[in-house]
Amino acid sequence: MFSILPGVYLGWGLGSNDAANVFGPPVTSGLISYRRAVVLAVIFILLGAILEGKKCFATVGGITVLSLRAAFIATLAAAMVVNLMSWLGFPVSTSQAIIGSLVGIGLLNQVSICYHKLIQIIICWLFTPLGAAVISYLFFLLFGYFYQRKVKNLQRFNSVARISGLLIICYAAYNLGANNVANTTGAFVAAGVLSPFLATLLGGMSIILGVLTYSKNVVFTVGKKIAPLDPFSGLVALLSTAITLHLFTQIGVPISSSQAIVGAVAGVGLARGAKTVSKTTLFLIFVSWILTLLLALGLAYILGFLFK
Amino acid sequence: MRKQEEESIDLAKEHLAKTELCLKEMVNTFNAYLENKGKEAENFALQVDRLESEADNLRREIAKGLFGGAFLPLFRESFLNFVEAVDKIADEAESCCDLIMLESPDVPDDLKLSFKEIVRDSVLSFQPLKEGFGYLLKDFSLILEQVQKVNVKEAEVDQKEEDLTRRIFSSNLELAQKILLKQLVAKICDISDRAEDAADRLEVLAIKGRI
Repeated sequence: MFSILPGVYLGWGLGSNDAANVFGPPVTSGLISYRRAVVLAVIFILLGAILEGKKCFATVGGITVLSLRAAFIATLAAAMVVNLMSWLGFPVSTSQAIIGSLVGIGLLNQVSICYHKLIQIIICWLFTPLGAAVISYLFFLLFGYFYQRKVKNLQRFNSVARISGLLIICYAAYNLGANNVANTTGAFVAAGVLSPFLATLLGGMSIILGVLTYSKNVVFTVGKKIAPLDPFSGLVALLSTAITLHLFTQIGVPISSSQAIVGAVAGVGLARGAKTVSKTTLFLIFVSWILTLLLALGLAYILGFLFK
Repeated sequence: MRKQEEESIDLAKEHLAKTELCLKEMVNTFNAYLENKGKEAENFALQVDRLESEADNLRREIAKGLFGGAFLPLFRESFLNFVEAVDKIADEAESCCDLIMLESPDVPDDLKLSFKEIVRDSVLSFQPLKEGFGYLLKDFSLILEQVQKVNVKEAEVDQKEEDLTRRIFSSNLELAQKILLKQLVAKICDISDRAEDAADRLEVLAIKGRI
């Protein structure tokens, strides 16, 4: 049991940080109360993790050959980097942290690293904000067209925003669980310590632990950065993020929900002809990309070396 | 629609109706006063006081409903701002009546018709505002037209205020009387100014409903 604690730690970090991407905008724009959002997130993250979470296990576990010790160190290093980067205020990605640390541990142990798969993953990461931006751009135009024609008064606006907000939160939480659960326990599945089902269950529960214990402040800070958008634009951005997560889950690649939502917000901004994402944010994403990978790789290497 | 929202909208409609009634009684107060029917004017002014205080109570009820979570936060503040702006119209009506009942300004016969006209026109700016609120519940895009009508009416009243003030000061009245009458004209025109303010708030609500 002790050996899988880093997975719980990483899941907790993921839940406390990334859940804010999923229900931050609807909560801060008042579409739904924080308490209700948490209840929905808990249910749908777990459902997503259990029903579709195993689709990304092969990617996380296929980077390198893993023993229990290697899985332990790689996951621990990834969790520590996620904590550090969050503390520094970077839009951190658990996917980049775990892949970086798996490469680090692979290099240390001088076992084969599947570079082909690694390149595929990196390409997917590049396409995460881009894909989300394109989807949100198109959705904004498409839904905007119908919205202008059908949502013409105050009551309808309130009903449409509230109902679609609820549905989109559920869908986004489901996809967060489905796409990201492999980051938390995927290495242990590859090491043969956990069965895929147990890994999704445990990973899902640890993400939920993060949502329940530590997400409130993050929700309100992250949400407010995104929510100056009107509710319609915020929901389009969130739906696009959820669809991006969904698409990458289907091809088995864990991605960053933080980077997806930034891309989606930028896409909405483009469609509205307004600047919604600053150059600083884009720069932060780029730096966080490089830093997360390198730090996770380096830390896993050092920890592995120390505990050899 | 959620019950809280339904209640807030019903209360806002009632508040608008109460304000409209308040304005109507204010016109009656003025007409009676200008026709030297002091007792009648006093009774109408009492009605204005009562209606204004009822409008105040409704405004407080609406605020309570909004505090309870009616509407999205995006609309909540703007909705309350609108209701408060409408409430100020009723306040101005009461203030006008107070001025004539407490200070009894002497309006010369040759200005009486102009006073009646300016009271009527200032109050007329309320009508498109009320209609505009109705469109908030039907179609946001039609609100702007009503807001424009309020603005046009307010500009007309402003022009009349200028003309009447000029006439007051070019007359042979005592300076004190001139100042008092000018004050009265300004008070009357404050009603259309407040209607314009409320129309601006309504416009904000409409804009927030668009993407």
